[in-house]
Amino acid sequence: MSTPAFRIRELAWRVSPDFALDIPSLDLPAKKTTVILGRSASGKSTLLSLLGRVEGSYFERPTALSGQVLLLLDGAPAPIDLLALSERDLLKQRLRGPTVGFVFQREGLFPGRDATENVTWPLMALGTPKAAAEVRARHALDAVGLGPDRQVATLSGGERKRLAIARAIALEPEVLLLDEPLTGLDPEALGGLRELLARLAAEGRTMVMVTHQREDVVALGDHLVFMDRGQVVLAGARAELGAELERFFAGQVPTLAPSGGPT
Amino acid sequence: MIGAGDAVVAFGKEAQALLAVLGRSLRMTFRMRFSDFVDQLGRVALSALPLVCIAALFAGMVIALNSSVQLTKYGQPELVADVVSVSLVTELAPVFTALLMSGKAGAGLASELGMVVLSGQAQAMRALSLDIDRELIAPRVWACVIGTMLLTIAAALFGLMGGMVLGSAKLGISPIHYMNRATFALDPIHFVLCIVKSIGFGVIIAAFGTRMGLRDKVDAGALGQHTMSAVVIASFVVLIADHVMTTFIYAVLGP
Repeated sequence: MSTPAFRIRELAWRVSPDFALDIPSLDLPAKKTTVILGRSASGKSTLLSLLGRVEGSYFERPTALSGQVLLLLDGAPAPIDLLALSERDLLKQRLRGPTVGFVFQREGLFPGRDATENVTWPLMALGTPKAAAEVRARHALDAVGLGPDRQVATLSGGERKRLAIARAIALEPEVLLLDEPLTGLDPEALGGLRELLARLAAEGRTMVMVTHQREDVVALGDHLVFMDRGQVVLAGARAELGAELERFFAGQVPTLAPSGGPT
Repeated sequence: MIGAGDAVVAFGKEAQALLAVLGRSLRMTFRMRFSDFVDQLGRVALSALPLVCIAALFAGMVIALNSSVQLTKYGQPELVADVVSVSLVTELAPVFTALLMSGKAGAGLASELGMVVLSGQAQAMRALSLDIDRELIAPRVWACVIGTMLLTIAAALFGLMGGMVLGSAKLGISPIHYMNRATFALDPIHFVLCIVKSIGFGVIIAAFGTRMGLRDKVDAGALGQHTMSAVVIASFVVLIADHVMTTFIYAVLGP
């Protein structure tokens, strides 16, 4: 594998009494698109939330969380140990947003603001002048095909997804984390947004995506990670895991052996 | 069953979270946008102004009425202005306003911030490097504290007017005489009690409203539960803090 963008070591998080994330070692390649696959509740979104450091709640850091998630950026002198950073450190370093973008499954849009303001608020809070922020917002909204004055309350499910993508890409992040970004979109929007994501990937961006859709994997996936019950069952280049991918979409999901170890 | 040890740990965590809310707001005092603070102040205080003023006017009248019945028995109905002004400024205006604000601002904070958490906005803000302390918490906490203080002053003024109206209409005390007596009865310590208590109550309401709003929640049921808790606990703590602060201020400044 080329240089990794994320290097995960001895990652363990007991999220609840009946679910734990346990990843002894996993590397995700830089400048490629990794697709995380698995059953519902296998830990895909939980892993993604740790890569983007948006896990847990704002007030309380999870206690039963240990290990390392290293972020290796181009031009950075040393890897950044993401789990060692506090909320305040993360804000000061502006890692989330401008460096690591996140598109959530539940979009988390700001309902009191229109589409443009949803995009400009983070830009302006990070110091971009209003006029420049509005230009960037217009470009991002054009890219996803959404009108600038639309109120969040009037957006359909698919339009909400588009605005969430626009809000993330307006900050031009080096790394983009996407949690089921193309679910619930109509076929026309789906094609356009998939092309947009492919374009963003082709620009040399590292992307990590959780999806259940074969077309997303075929169009975007370079690297695959299969998860089950909080553990990584299989990981590798898509070219090497073609048979497993076919079996996955045929309903034969890679599963942990009963002993708990990866098969 | 929850043991005593668990209860102490839970209490400690809650106290820590409440102090964190206040600490974060203090740290952001000069970093929050002033326009956000003014906007919140309008939403919290200006919108509650008619409610507080009308309620205080009637409260002033009813205290005057009740006091006059007792004072007439002792042949000194003119002392009604003294009684109404001192009890209003030191006790009724701060407590009365705080309880109204607990129901309005406290519930508003808990439900609004609760929706921010429940709908994933808080998580999205973290992912976009939007500082929740600066953008959401500090303007709301400061607006609640300053708003409670300003509304308490308004409540005291309107309560005094209520007493004056009743004194004039029912007891035949001229408004000028009533106001002279009312202001003469008030000492500086009464104003200290009024202002310090109103600020303290504002802090309590803001801390519980914000803390309950930003607590993790899984569904709308939890949102309702946390909002109710913010109002009930803040009201309860306001009444206890009233006694504590009054005792403390008298101990420091003398009666």
